[in-house]
Amino acid sequence: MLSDNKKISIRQAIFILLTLNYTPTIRLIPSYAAQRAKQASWLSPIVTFILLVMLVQVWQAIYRKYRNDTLMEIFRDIAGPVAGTVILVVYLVWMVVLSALYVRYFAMRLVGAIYPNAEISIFIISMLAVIIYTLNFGLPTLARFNEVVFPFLVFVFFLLFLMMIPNFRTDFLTPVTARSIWPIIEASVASTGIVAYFSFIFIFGDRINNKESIGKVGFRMAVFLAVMQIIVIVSILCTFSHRIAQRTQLPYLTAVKQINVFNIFEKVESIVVSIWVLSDFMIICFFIMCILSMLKSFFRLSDTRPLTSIYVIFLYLLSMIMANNVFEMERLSEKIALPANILLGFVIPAAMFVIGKIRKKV
Amino acid sequence: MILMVILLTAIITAAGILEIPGMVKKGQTKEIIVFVVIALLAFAMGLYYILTPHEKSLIYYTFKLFGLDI
Repeated sequence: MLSDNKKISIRQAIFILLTLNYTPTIRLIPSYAAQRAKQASWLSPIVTFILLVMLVQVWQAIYRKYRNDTLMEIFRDIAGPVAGTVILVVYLVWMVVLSALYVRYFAMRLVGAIYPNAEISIFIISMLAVIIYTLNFGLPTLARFNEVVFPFLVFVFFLLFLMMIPNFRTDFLTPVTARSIWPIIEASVASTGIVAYFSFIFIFGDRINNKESIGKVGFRMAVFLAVMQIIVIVSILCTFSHRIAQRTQLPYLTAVKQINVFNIFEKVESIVVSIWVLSDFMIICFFIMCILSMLKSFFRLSDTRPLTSIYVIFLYLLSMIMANNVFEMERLSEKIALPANILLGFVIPAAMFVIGKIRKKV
Repeated sequence: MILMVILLTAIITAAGILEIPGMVKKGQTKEIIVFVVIALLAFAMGLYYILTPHEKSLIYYTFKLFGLDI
């Protein structure tokens, strides 16, 4: 039971995380993993699962002490005000970059997948207008909206998987030998970089209730994400083999285009695009909320709602000057975004936990 | 190009006209300062985007900064 109507439960926060993981998972993981671990890439989410369970335990331990604090307050307390603020400025800059990146990805994907030659500004402006309107209602409304979206997303995802099964060739998943271990670990960078967003939900940790269940809910989340990531990779590998998967720009969409059940269900890729849009909506809202929460913490603001519209205008312009084409964005995702996510989502929280233990703060 | 600059200025000004009076009424000075800083950054980026349409992207400069090949 929620004690405050401005707060959300840890379950709702995890649901938001699961929804926003959907888009980057199907865009980035299959081709990245296939390039590195070939036919064994479907095992890479297992490495991520182990790391994520450890991260969940780290946050559970941190929140035993800091019951109603945000990530910013926790880091400042553990690392000291100066070091903590420097780290948080890095987080803020990275959130701004990620939010602009996802705005641009959203539009580029729509243009690349179903609206070739359309002007990307049309999609970006439409999406951002809806986002400004939604964010005025606050986090609880977004969380409740997500509780409607998430089951639909999961249902469609598993339905598509079932419809893809007739095209599967399971021999594309083998051979897997001891020599595959290091490539699997390398391939897991993509899935680990994406699930690292788990740490970012604690940027609004003061607005999340029942954090004593982080361990239990977090473990279920880790299992769900591992299953989802394995299914995505398996669907693509079994449909095309790793040779084609690693060279295709949107392999999941291409795999869905192959679906044809008894000549009745076909051309179902529009469903994928619709859930992409929902997931993109959640991910952009999430990062804008994170940025506004960080600004609130930095400058001790009483209210960030009036800043939403101007930040969204800033975000539009940043996303427009960010990249000239999709290849630049993919290079940014692979070379910089994934390591940065792992650093900020896994390494720094783990380091804070260790420092907190040494300084007897955790 | 000039029309685009006028449009950019009008949009940022409109956001200010919509939000700033509410913040003034509540005495939210810090919020107004943060708003103005973001507005100025947005205006600078908008000018860059409009006046140099064929310029290299931010990602290009970021990769150059880190010494990476794009």
